[in-house]
Amino acid sequence: MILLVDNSVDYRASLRCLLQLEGYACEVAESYEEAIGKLADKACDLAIVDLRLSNHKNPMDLTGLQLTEWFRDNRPGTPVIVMSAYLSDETVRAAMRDCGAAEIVWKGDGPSALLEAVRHALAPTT
Amino acid sequence: MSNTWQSLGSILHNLNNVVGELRLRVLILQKRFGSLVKDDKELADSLQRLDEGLGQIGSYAQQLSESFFRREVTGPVSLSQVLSQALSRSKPPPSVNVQLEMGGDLPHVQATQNLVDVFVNLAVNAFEAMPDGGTLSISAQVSPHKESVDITFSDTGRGMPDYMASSLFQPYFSTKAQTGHGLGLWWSRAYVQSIGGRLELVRTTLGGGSSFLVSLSAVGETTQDPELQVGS
Repeated sequence: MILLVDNSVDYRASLRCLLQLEGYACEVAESYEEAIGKLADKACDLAIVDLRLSNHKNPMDLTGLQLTEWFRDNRPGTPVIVMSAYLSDETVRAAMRDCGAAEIVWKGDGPSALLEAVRHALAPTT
Repeated sequence: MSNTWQSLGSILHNLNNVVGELRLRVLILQKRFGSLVKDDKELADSLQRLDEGLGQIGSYAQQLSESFFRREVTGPVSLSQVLSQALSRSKPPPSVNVQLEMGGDLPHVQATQNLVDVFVNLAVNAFEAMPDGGTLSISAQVSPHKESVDITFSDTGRGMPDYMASSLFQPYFSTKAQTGHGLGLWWSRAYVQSIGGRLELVRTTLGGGSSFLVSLSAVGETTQDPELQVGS
């Protein structure tokens, strides 16, 4: 099961549809809290996390960065792909890897790059 | 980071989000209606062109982003001029006392005009930490071996708890609920590092203010800059 976490309802719905067409089971969450809640009694094989997650009800932004770190600290065997619609800058990529991201995908690169990252992350290790 | 840059960053973020989502939908159409697409060349070409066009839009957005955020060629920059511009742009509130202490024989530093944005960011953050007034002390001192200049921004504001201080330079981290984009300090540090310097939080105490250090490489001859006037 892939857990997709993105605060954009349109992007989330479209990506979920594509992942299901590719044969993946996919659950969605729109925030850090919802993602953690879904993982309370189940595990996921892969997490796809948007870099910028904002919860307007919470005065402190809980970002995809912190969710990535949560996976690193609590589910160390679960790969995390971080998506960003902001910059494809190498500085950002390096910072995300420091937080435990297996792969960083810029949304502007198109869906093929993301699908390739998903296949790579879920490929069995030998 | 200036308001213009924050707005541009937000627009590019939203643009990339929409372009990314539309490209997903094109691929969904190609997969879901595969047999139709295979038998109809015009449909196939249209979807292909749609995806290529969206890709071009994303590419243009990236080029726009790089042209605005890429650093210019560095050169010798007068600290007094940069600090003067920064203080002018940051518009100190009347309730805040700004104290400026420039050491003698300060050399120029190796930077670009983007350095003004770094100092504006630090000043504005300090002002916002002092909603009821206070003091922002800015000092610039040359290092003992004259290889660098240390610029310190110290405020008497509300300070930060440890968990906030440890996340301060992360991208998209913001202490400002609805207005902060969370890229100011991340960008400022990335820029300062790109010109061979460093930006650090050296001290913060809840209720006791914060102090940031910007250390920059010195270049060229020292100059005696005229005393800066900090107006209200």
